[in-house]
This record gives sequence, C-alpha cells and structure tokens, in this order.
Amino acid sequence: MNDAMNKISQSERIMKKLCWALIALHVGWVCTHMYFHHKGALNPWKLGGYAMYTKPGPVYSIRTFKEQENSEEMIRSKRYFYSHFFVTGGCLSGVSKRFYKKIDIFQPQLLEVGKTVKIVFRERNLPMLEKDRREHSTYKNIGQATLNLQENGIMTVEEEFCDKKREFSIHVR
Amino acid sequence: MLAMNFKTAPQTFLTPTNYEMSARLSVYFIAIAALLEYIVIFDDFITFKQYDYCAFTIIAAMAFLRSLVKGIDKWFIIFFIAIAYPILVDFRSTANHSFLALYLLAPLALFPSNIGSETFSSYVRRSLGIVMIAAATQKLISGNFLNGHFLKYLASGGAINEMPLSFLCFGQSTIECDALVYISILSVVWQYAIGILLLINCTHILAFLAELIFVLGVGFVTDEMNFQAINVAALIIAFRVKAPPIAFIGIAALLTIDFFGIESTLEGWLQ
Repeated sequence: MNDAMNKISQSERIMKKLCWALIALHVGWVCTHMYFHHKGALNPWKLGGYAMYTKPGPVYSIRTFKEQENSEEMIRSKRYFYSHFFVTGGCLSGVSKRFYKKIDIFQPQLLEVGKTVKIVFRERNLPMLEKDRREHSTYKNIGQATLNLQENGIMTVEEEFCDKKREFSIHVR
Repeated sequence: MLAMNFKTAPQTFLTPTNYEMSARLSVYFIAIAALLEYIVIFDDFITFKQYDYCAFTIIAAMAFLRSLVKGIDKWFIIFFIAIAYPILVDFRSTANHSFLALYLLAPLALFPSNIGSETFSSYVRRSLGIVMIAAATQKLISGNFLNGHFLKYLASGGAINEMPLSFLCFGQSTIECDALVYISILSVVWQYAIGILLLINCTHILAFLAELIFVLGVGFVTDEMNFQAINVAALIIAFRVKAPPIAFIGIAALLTIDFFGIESTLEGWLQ
C-alpha cells in the first residue's frame, strides 16, 4: 500500500516538473510570438500565439501565368485565407512544398512538360473602417516562383522572395 | 471502464458527477475537439494525396475510441502522437486551439493516471491563465482593438452571429458606434482580470462564472465553438468542478454547432 502511494506521489512529482517545463515553454513561445507579431513579422492568427481577433487575418492570393507563344497568359487568380505562406517583415520567406503539390492536383492541365508556369504571390490589405472595404482593398506583390515540369514527373521550383533566391525539386506525379 | 462508470452515473442530468469522472469526460472532449479539426477535412487529405495525414487521423480516431472503452491509460500516448503529427507538420496553417489542446493533453500522455490530481488541475488553470493574459496583451498592443476598430470591422461584416454587436449600436452606424469602443475596453479588462484570477489559483465560483460567461459570449460572436468547447472542458478541470451531465451535453452541442458553423446553424433555425 505504502509502495503504491510512494509510486503515485513520485509520478506526480515528475509530472509536476514536466508541467512547469511546459508552462515555461508556453510562456516563452507566447512572448516570442507577441514580439515578432508586434514587429509585423508573424501571422497574428497562426503559429500558436493568441493575437487572433486583434486585427483581420492576412489574406494572400496567387496569380498563375502560363508561358504561351511569345507571351504569358493569366490562368488563375485564387485567394488563400490560411497560410501556406510564411511572411516575415512584409516579404515572403517560405512556401510549403504541399502548396506546390496542390497546384498540380487542383489543375492537372496547368503543368506541361517544357512550358514554364509563373506564380505571383500577393498580400491583400483590407481597410478596416471603409464602408465598401472590398473595393478599397490593395494588393502588394510579396514574391514569385517559376515552375518547370520535367518528363520524369519532377518539378523544379525557382523561388524569388524579395532579395532571396532558392531552387529545389519536388516529385509531383 | 466507461461502462463501469456509467453504472455509478448520476440519476438526473443536473446531479453532479464525481470529479474523476468530470475530469475524464473533459479530457475526452478536449481530445475530440482536436480530432474533429482533422476529421472534417479528411476528404481534403484524400483529394490532395496527404496520405500521412489520413493515416495519423485514423490512428488518432482508433486510439481515441480505445480510450473511451478502456479509459485513459498508458496507450493514450498513441492518441497524443497521432494528433500531434498533423498539428506540428502543418504548423503554418494549424489553428491556435489545436496547439492549446496539445499543451493541455501533453502531461496526460506520459502520466495518464494523474488525471484527477491537483497537479494536473493547477497546470490547466495556469495554462488558461497564460492564454487569457497573452490574448489580452495582444489586444492591448495591436493598436486596432482598444479603439474599437476591430469590433467595428467585425460588426460591419454582416454575419448573423455578428449582429448582436451591431444591435448594441442602437441604430448608429457601426463605424461611428461608441458602444463598440467601450465593449472593446471592457473585454480587455475582463480578460486580464480572469487571467490573473486563474494564475493566482483562485477557484471561487464567481471566477469560474466570469470565465465561463466570457468564453461563451466571445465564442458566440466569433464563431469559434471548437475553441470554446476546449476552454469549457478545460475550465471544468481547472476549477475541479463536479460537472453534471448537462454540462457535457452542452459541450457536445458546442462541437456540433462548430461542425456545421454557427452562421449556417442560425440560418437554419431562423428559416
């Protein structure tokens, strides 16, 4: 009986330490989120901070262009409410690879071997106190990416976000 | 184990249960709130070939069902890992309340037998206190909340659940409405007050009611019933409430409303 009670109190003692560690982690992250959000570097609605309902969540949109004979044709303009995009200091700094995979699944005819597809990423600024706020919204380009599908189903992605360039390949088919 | 508990279950919907039972049911509801976030978009996982998400959601659902039948034991860690995977991998688009559910359930993943302990209750109490203080501070520093701009923005959005906000303006245009400025200030003060009460371990019934009213009120206007279900279930643990079954029926109702969305639920009722 005493052994069982000791065991319980021992497990509770260890749990208590774990709880304090988790509380420290929680406070640490909340303060970090608060700092970066206040600097305009993090999405207030995401990433486990508690700044939702303090300002409208950022709305991103993409415009997709496909290479044609000597020109580019705009294929699609789509809004994204939630973030596949990582924006820091008003510049796109990362896009999830899942986003590029989804592009292929949404529009299987979009990617063609030998034809370049360009995506322009934009952030929408919605005025809060205008009566017709949708008409007064403005867009800012925050980066672009060029996609090239190869015959083996691998897509090369060249991202250009503000002054940063990155190139990588993903398997899409 | 659940069957055994139901044999000793109370006679009416209003009779309090014992605390162990209340804590266990609350944990189930926090777990199901986290799980529902993934079940509702299961079709998307299949459409977008996110088979890892499909697999982890199925494992989480099975582990959850096991914990319903056998109780919350050492196998609860399987549920925790399965639900943590999509939350952490897709952290950019994960909702904040999924992170909160993860924080709240983390100690139980390793120490499930301490579910009824004061250590777990005070952990939940402090975690909710942190949420309240952090949310109030974010409102304070955002520059858009204390001056009423954000509530005015919400009130002019036109959704049915946002109508109580415009109703408080008594015919005034929402953009010029002073009442929304006062409500903004009141809600920040209220949130700080309950955050401090939680952090100083105040378990008075008035503190519980103040928190409950805030959570339910805000949840109604903002259509975030999943968050509110997690909060109400966590409050039961934090205040060590011997909650009657009607409380859990209420939480189940919140999750059901969240499943369909409060706006479409209200539209259905009003038609």
